[in-house]
Amino acid sequence: MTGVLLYLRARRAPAALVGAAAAVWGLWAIWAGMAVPGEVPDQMGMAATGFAAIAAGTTLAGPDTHLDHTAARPWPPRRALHLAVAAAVILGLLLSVAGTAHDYGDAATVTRNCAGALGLITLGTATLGGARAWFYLAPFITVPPFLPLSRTSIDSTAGQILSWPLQPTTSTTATITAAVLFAAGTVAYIHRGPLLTVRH
Amino acid sequence: MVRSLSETELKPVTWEYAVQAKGLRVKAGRHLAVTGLDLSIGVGVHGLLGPNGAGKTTLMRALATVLSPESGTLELLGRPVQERGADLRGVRRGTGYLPQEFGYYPKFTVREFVEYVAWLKEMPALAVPVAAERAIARVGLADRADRKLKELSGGMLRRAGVAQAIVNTPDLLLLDEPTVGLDPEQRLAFRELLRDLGADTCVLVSTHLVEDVVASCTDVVVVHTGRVVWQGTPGQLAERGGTGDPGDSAAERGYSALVRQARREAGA
Repeated sequence: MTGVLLYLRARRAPAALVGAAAAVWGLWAIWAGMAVPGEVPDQMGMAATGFAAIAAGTTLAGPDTHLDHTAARPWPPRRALHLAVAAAVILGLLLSVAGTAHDYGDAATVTRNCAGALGLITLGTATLGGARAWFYLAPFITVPPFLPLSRTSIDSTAGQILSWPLQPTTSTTATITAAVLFAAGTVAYIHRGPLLTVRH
Repeated sequence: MVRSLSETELKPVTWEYAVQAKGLRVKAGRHLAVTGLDLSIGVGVHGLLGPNGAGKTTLMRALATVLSPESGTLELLGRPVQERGADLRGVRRGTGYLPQEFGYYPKFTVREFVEYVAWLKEMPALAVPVAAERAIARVGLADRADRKLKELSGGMLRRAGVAQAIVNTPDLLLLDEPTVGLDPEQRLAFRELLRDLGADTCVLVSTHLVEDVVASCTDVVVVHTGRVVWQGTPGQLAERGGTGDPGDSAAERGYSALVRQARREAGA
């Protein structure tokens, strides 16, 4: 078996792919089953994106960060490629329902939210470790369904930053927020890798 | 994807000491666990002894390039490792490491686990299957090479860990508590493997078991509060103890005497 296949298995990539697909297609199927006309609500769209990103996040650290750390193989390019593939897979899954009666919004919204969610996951992996990678992203999945937010109700900059996944693509603030999260997370992860958990 | 080797990396590196540390200070989390350690070791089997919290595991992690030193100098296989642009890749290719506990790859077979580490160590793809087979055979797991790690007992898992550490035929082999979980017969076989490996490799074995050190090591290093407090041969260690020191053998009494003395000095 080639090293790359072993790497993918060590990172639990097959399970993560199944998890991401289940999140994206499952939520889409639930909404479609409810026979409500129109695209999936923003909150549910973000939940699908977030769960898919969390699934991808489980592949960002191996079972033993210490053994990984002693690898001669240079990690930064591998991490960059890993993230690019993860982003492509999540985007592909989210856009696979585009054009149906219940899609997750236009490509720009889906791309922005995917970038922001991956940024939060990679930031979590780099600063909190693989097991807690979901920590920064979780509020953006769990809180919005319970808040009376709509795309037009938030005008303040702080409000647009905090609710970036729910803003229309015309919101430059939301787009910049997602871009900054993506850049910060990507740079931190590629440069540092998953946080080393020091066991005593 | 794999970057080609630079001229510096291709230049052969010669070394007298596989590990050369001076004034080494390393943190474990926020706690300074290695506090100005001096150590020079070359080819042979070196036993690293010390009480709990002495800094053995932190030292092993620093030597495995998992942790970066806070200060001091550290040269591994003739290469300084703290400098910007240090040839860590060359060091890691030549190093094998068995952590105290290693993360679980439950769906990997022993063979896949060892081959995966060989790949991480950048071994040539064609050499990997043979090297993995040889490493697995050396730890006595040839008949279980296709068993999943989750199906192995603690002792077998430990041996699989040793197999991954030696798959790249390292020049520096770091084994943290390698005999934990091994039954007496396996421990005897492991001591023989250590002596065999130590013929042309620098092997550093961190352990609590003085009898393992006496049986298989050419050199003993005793650490206390993050520093080397004594270094010598197993025979010299045995001479350090007196009748009043606790222990079942002369070497254990010698070790106890050294630790008592280190505690007194640290207290003073």
